[in-house]
Amino acid sequence: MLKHTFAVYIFLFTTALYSSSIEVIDAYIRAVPIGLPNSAAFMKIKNSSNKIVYLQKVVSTSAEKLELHEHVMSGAMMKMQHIPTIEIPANTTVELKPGGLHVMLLGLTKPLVVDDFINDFSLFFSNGDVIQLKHLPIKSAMNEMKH
Amino acid sequence: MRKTLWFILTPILLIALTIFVIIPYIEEQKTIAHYAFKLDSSEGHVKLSDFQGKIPIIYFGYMYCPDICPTSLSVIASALAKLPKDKAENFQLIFISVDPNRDTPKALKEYAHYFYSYAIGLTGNEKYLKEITQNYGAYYAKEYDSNSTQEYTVAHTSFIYIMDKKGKLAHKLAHPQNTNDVYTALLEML
Repeated sequence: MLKHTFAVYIFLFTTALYSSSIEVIDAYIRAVPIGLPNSAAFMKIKNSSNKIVYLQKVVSTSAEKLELHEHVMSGAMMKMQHIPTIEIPANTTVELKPGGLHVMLLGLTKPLVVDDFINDFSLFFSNGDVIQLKHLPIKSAMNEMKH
Repeated sequence: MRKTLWFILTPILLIALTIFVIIPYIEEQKTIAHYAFKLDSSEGHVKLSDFQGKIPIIYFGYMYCPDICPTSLSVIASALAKLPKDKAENFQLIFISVDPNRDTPKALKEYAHYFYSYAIGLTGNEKYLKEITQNYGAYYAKEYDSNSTQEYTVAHTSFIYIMDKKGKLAHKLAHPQNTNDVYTALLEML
């Protein structure tokens, strides 16, 4: 009995240790016409911990380079700029969405066709969490309008 | 007596004709000329006046734009798709690239079709594009970000211009991300 309880404790402890406080929800890459070199990935990032976590890096073979970007207004113009990290405040969900924060894919290595998937897309966070997305859908920009 | 009446009436009629017909006509022609353009498509030159009788929807952007332009074009295409086919046929979606160095007329044709089958893609030389965009109250500027690996991006205003059938500006929508806003504006034009 004691042995059994101990095993349960061990299980709970390791689960707590390894369960991620970061969750990536509704992630997708935007399909683009064939021949265009760049696209963007959008998602919601949920931080259920009590500490600020930063998205620091994204790695995928789908593009030569992946950067974190935001949109800012420069007068009446919309301007995209590279940012080093994306802050996910404690107990908050941050949305990367069209017209706002996004992961920019530069130099696409394969065509992004609607209903296809990207099988490797890893997000690295400041708390050590690494979220690996192995079935990231490619969606049409038209789809976003239906949300 | 009749002569005297004509003597008085003729100048009044001429003044009325000038005020109510000639001046408004000249003003209208000036406005039409202000928004007129002649740009390059994969099939040759295209003028705004080529679409007289249709309602042009104009958007200035660039093909390498990863987010704002695809979002705006999708919003317009979705709004057009909400209309019955015979109503949607009244509109002509025109995408004008302000990045002629990278966006060729042929590539622009495919790009415009990707979002909406009946859309067309145009561009021109840089100097002329500056002139046209200024006439529309649109602005753009190349941005070189030393922290990014991109060659350059183009900061730009994101307005949707809906013209009337004569080529005068009817609506200028500031970066609408909501299909219904565009749909409502389109309905007003019918």
